[in-house]
Amino acid sequence: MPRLPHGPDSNQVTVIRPVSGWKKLNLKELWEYRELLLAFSVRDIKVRYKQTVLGATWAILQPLVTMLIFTVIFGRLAGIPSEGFAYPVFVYAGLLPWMLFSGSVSTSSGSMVGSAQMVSKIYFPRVVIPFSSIASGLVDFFVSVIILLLLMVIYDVTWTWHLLLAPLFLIGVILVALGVGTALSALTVSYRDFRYVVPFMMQIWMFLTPVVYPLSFIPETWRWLLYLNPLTGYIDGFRSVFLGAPFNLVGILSAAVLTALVFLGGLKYFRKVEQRFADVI
Amino acid sequence: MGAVIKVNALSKQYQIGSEYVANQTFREMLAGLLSAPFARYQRLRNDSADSERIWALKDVSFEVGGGEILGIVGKNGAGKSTLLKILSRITNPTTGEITYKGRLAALLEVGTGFHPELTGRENIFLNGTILGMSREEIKAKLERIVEFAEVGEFLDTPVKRYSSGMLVRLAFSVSAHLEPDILIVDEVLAVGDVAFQKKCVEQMKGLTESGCTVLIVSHNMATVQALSDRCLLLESGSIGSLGNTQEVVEYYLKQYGGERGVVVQDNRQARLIEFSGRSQKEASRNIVITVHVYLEFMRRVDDVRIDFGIESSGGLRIIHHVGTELEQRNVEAGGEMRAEFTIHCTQLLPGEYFGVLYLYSRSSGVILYLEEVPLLSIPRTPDLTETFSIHYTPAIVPLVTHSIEVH
Repeated sequence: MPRLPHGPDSNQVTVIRPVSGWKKLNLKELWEYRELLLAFSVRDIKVRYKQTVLGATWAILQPLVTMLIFTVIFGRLAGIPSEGFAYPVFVYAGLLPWMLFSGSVSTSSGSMVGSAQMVSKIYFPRVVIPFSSIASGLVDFFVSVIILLLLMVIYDVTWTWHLLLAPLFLIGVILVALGVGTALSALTVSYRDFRYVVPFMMQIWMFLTPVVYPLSFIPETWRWLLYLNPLTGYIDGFRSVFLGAPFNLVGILSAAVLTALVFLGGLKYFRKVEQRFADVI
Repeated sequence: MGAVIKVNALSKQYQIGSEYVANQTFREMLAGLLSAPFARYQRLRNDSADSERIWALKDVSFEVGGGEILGIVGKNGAGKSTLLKILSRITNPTTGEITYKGRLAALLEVGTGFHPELTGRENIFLNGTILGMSREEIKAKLERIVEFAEVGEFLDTPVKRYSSGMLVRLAFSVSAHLEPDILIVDEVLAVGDVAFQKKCVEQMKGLTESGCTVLIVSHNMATVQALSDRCLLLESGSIGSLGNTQEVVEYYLKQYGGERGVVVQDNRQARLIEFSGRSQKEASRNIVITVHVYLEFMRRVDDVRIDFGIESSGGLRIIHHVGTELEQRNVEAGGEMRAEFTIHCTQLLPGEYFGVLYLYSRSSGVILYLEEVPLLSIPRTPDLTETFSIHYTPAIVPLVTHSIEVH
């Protein structure tokens, strides 16, 4: 008889008891349900491209148009410096990881409420839902990266070995997005007005991150404030990756520490409140 | 086999009208935080903290043995769904505990997670994974699932174009091919046509033969009777009755037979206390139906008589009795009337039957008129299986004698 991939085997005894307070992160269980994580991700990607008229073109158009607008407003009109690189490439390199982050946080924060029907009908580790919801954003990201590589050719920016470090920064951005998105998805279950808070929050957060301006644009005395934002190190790092500029180790280290805090904190909070989702949702 | 599921002193408390409801928005929660000390003070003074809590389940204990089919019945709000939700780990108990052995799968609603934009094939994989099957396992069972659901040619069509019947068949088919040690089923048998339901029942029986323990929650007494050996009746969160299915179902019908149903007309001269029925086998293909009516009168009424009908769950009136002058009685205010009718009848098709009751008097006209009162449940017996399984579904199943000559 074929065995279920997750859950205990025939002889294992499961005990259901009242739970209260903080629970363990239980990443082992999440690993047992990896097929479900994959199935939800595949579903989101398929549905995303089936339902839209433009399909994959969206993934290209959205950051491109944003980049054009930012180039005109911040590059030309406001005259924000771009560390000697062409502003379009400079802003696009920062925009891609930022859009991955903000897109992931937005979709995952609404994901629990969006899956209410399933949550009240069947058991699986709830965290699979916000985690899998970032998949379609990742696909968009990879499509946009190809455009960036082309842009670099057009603007005469050479490809360097720095490109090989891109996955590290990508993982960093994903972990922060998962931490923030998971916590927000739990908060949205309890407090529905978080739906309106998130877009607003993302807008402010973008301007507190060196996306449209370089880190050097901020006076040295105030720069430490930006380092309190884990995305500062990653966005800046992504830029170094694509533009071949030197890496800012202070930014990267502070980002790594903050990432661990945000990711674990978000997950812990989610685990604490998930037991009453089915009752509240 | 020993007990596979042990439920010990299980209770679940829900808070109503309390913090969960109040804090619908973050703004309200902030406001709530500020006013919390004051509110708590008020609560302490009024000592009303408990009034906002309800016990959906209270001190429920039972055991289920391996390979057993346990039916769970009860009115809406009796705690059936809560019990299932705790068993399937969707929600946590407040106190008590459950211990079970092996893998447990719950079909609380067929088609959970189906996405309309995806094709039948894609949904089989998605739904199967949600239910706990691995990709390999689904691949191996795909053919059987598709065949069982009878949707072969539409496998690569988005399910939004499916008819509701097809969708339900596909969804159930995926669920039916899970092979857990414990299966929890909630009302899913109420899907598809009779032929498909029959298939589902067969599938489930096959599961128990291979040692799977099944818990079935249903409003449909006939289903519970047909499938389960033992039955658990929940009454406002506690165990009302637990034991042999036939006994529990009879107890249930007696308990609730009179108070459910639809009141069409009531001029408040009389109150119905009991309207229940019972069937007994008399001979092969012959049954005796006994109908009890118990009424209380608020006023004096002269020349009262009772008419009643019995309808199949499909709404077909099978029997109608019109009270004659011989059955008329005068009842004083505060008086009671107990009537028993015995009907010698040919065998009815297994299933649930509903009563229609008219109370007349010559002076007042219709005093009371009720419809759809659960009245009877005809069990499925082996000699009726053949008739039940085919598409004809006649209302009555009389004995047919024959004389066939061949020249």
